Amino acid sequence: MTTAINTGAARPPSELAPSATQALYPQSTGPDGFERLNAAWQKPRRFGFFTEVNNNHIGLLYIATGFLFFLGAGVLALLMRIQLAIPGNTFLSAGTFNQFFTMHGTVMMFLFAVPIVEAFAVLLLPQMLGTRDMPFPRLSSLGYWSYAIGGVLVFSSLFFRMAPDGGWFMYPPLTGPRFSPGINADIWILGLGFVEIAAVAAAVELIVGILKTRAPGMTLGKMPIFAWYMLVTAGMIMIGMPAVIAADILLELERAFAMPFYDPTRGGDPLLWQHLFWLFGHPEVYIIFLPAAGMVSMILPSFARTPLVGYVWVALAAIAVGFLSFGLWVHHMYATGMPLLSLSFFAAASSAIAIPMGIQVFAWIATLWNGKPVLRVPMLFILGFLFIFTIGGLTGVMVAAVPYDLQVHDTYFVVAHFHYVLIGGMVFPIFAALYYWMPVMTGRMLSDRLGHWTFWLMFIGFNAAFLPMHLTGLLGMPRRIYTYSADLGWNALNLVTTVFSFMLGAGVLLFLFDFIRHLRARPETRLDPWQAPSLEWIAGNAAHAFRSIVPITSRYPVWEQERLKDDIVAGRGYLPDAPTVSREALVTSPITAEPEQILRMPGPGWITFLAAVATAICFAGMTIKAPIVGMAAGIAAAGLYIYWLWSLDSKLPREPADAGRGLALPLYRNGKQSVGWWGLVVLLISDAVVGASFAFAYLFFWTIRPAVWPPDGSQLSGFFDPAVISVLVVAAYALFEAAERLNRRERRLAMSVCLIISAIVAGAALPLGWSWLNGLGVNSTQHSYGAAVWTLFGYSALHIAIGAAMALWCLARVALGMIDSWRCLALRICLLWWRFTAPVTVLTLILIVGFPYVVS
Amino acid sequence: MSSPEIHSDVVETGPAREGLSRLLDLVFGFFIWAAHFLIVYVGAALVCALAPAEASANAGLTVALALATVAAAAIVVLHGVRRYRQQREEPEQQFPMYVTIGCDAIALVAIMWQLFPIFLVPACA
Repeated sequence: MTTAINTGAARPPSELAPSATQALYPQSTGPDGFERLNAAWQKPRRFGFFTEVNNNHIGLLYIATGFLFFLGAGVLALLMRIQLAIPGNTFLSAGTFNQFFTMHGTVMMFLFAVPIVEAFAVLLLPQMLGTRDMPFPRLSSLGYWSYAIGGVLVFSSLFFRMAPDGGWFMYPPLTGPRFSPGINADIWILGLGFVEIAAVAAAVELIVGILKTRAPGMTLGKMPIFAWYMLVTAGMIMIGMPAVIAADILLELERAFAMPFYDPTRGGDPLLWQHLFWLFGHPEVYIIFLPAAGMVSMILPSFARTPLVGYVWVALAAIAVGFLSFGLWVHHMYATGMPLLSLSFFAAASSAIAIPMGIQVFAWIATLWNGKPVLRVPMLFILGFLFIFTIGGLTGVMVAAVPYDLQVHDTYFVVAHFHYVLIGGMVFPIFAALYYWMPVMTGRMLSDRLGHWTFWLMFIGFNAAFLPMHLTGLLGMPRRIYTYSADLGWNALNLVTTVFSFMLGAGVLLFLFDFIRHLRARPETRLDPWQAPSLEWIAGNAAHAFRSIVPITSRYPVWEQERLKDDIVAGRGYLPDAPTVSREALVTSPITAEPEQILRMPGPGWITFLAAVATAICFAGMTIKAPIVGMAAGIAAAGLYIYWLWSLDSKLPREPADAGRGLALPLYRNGKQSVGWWGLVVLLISDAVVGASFAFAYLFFWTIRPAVWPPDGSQLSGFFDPAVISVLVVAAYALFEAAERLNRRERRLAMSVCLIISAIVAGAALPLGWSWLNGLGVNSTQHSYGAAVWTLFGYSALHIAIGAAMALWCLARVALGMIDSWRCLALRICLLWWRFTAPVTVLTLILIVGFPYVVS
Repeated sequence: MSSPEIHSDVVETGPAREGLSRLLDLVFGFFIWAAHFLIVYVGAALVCALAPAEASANAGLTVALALATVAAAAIVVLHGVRRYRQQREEPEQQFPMYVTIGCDAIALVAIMWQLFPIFLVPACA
């Protein structure tokens, strides 16, 4: 099977290439090819709203939904400002006020800020990177619908007066079973758990998309800078979100099963929550800020009419912020009585992060300096961002100092600080992005005149509302109080804040009016109104994005690559056709972006929407204590997921297919080049963080009370039982490894035997572990030690059980001829699971058995 | 671990040196930063939890933390120098080299920065 195989990068971009004639599915550059391409990417006429999975459709829905949550949480803020306008007001009761400020923070952070930046990435990244869709379109769709349904469930709890009321960071013991016996806190945990899972799904999608599906020739150094920012952001979600997922799991275990993680009377500690929450919660600030900074770095060059100054430096700064932001979490916990040296490490790291932040700001200023800036509405919002965010950064330096923080902790000074950072650092850039990219989304421009009004209303309203808040805080007003007495000197300041917060609200409302109006009234614009340098301005909102994928040789292709648009439109790039009328894109190598594979993508379908609905009903049923509904929906959801997974790794021809430009590429990869392999690697890294968080909990309990260990009176374990369990798990893994080797030699019978024994051996390890821990007298509800040990064991056990199920899964597929030496990605991905599970289990056992010996 | 796809008879078009480890090497400096941060933070917390308020132990702790910091800094510097020697001649590796060395440099500053608290704040206070 030797065909005309060529590396795409060698050919100059403008030359029209012959197709690889001996390859499968020849591509046509003519109108017939264009017809098939359009047919493949067409949105279904009926129910397309629910079934379409293309990034244009999902991205738009995602942004719109995020914006609706922004409006909802904004209304809550205004209602709270009415309550606080005058002293002794009775507009809201204390309980309602608690629900409102909790939901305001929760919705803004989890349902607006994180989702909407991911939404922009889902919408814009494939176009910017010169490809046609995200690598796992159905995963984006599942993530979106989970987020939309889960978010609506959480938000609607307000209307039943059951909304969470423990503050957006939900500190126990206030949110524990003793002080929050109602289901309010459960709604937060389960609803947000849902949203967090959607965020991790998006992170998998973004990382694999950025690394594996760029246009050929677009090396790491030629990516649009937004892709660097999103790569870092997605990496931070991958590491950060699992920590709060773990904290949520522990809190729900405490609430539902009385496992005392945060209860000091039984060996737990509420500070554990703060550590895990802020280990996520501080990077969260940068998870929100970095994409916004990425947007700014994309928009500025368009208006300064010059390339971004210091591209490498800005990419470096994004990476540095991504890492360093994980060393700051304790600066939310200065007032918790931790040792001074510990606090100082975090204070030092908090000031070190000023270096990369400074690099970015100087790069932006230098870009403006270098060019001839044109002051249009997006530019206004960016200038507003620079002004407001800088002030927020300055107060940030102030509160990063431990002694100062002890003074203003939990006062309105902090409220003013983080609104300056978040509204300045994220909301203003998002508005800039909405004005800037609206032609890509709707094909029309927003009004310039109304845009100026919107900006000035928002800018003046924001500053006049939040600048006085610094003073209110310094005068001692604590946050989260629902009213105050008239003789404290806060009256005038609060009234000013309230009045101008409505001005800010009016600005947002004007934007909304402009948006609705522009859909009908504004004329369709030409696609590239700003003469921007990046590829999304060629793609527009076409579902297939590009007629053909032309190799990229520049960071600013539209400015610097001659005849780029002509080549794309004339079909002179890769994949100008869809010969089998299925959706296709190119897979490229992660660093140099050499073409590796033609990726067949799934088209529209009901599976993702239905799976999200069933999962949501399952979660909601469990939360409102309707277990039968929950179980039924859970079974339905499981069935849908199994059906979905079964359809993966489908049969594709073995011969290379024509990719256009004289290049033939395989349609299928079964190893480390496949997007599936990368997806699981990313997921396993997240998974490892969950496990590490549980291990941290175990060790944390020892550090706060370093006494006799185990502390709950259970026996010290011998080595025999855990050694047997380890051997079983390692054997199950080795058998799986052997099965994969045998599969390469087509020894199907021997391989099937290996898989069966692997499943049995893995299954046997579970009851053995269970009886071992029970025999030692480790009890999950008596003491935090037992709770932590059982959680660690449960984490490993779940992985082993899934591993055993994977062995049976592969066995079934072997029996049906769906796995052979060529079509073996499913087998290899399951093997990757075992390569993770086996060492993790052994390490967990070493921790449980060995740690008591080490410390006693 | 690195089993080639021996049964694919399609010629491999992707370059071989683009695995996960090559990507993670770009940010090697920050992995060292993270490891160092955890070691000094957890190490100080552990020592102070076990042997609080002994003057000699405190002085020893300060020295140990400073040595760990210098060691971490040295590793990062060596990595940067090594990558520079390997990659400066290869035109295709210029951008990855800049990123690698840049990450090493910022990580180096962030690591050395921890000497401030180590020397200025008394251990176990």
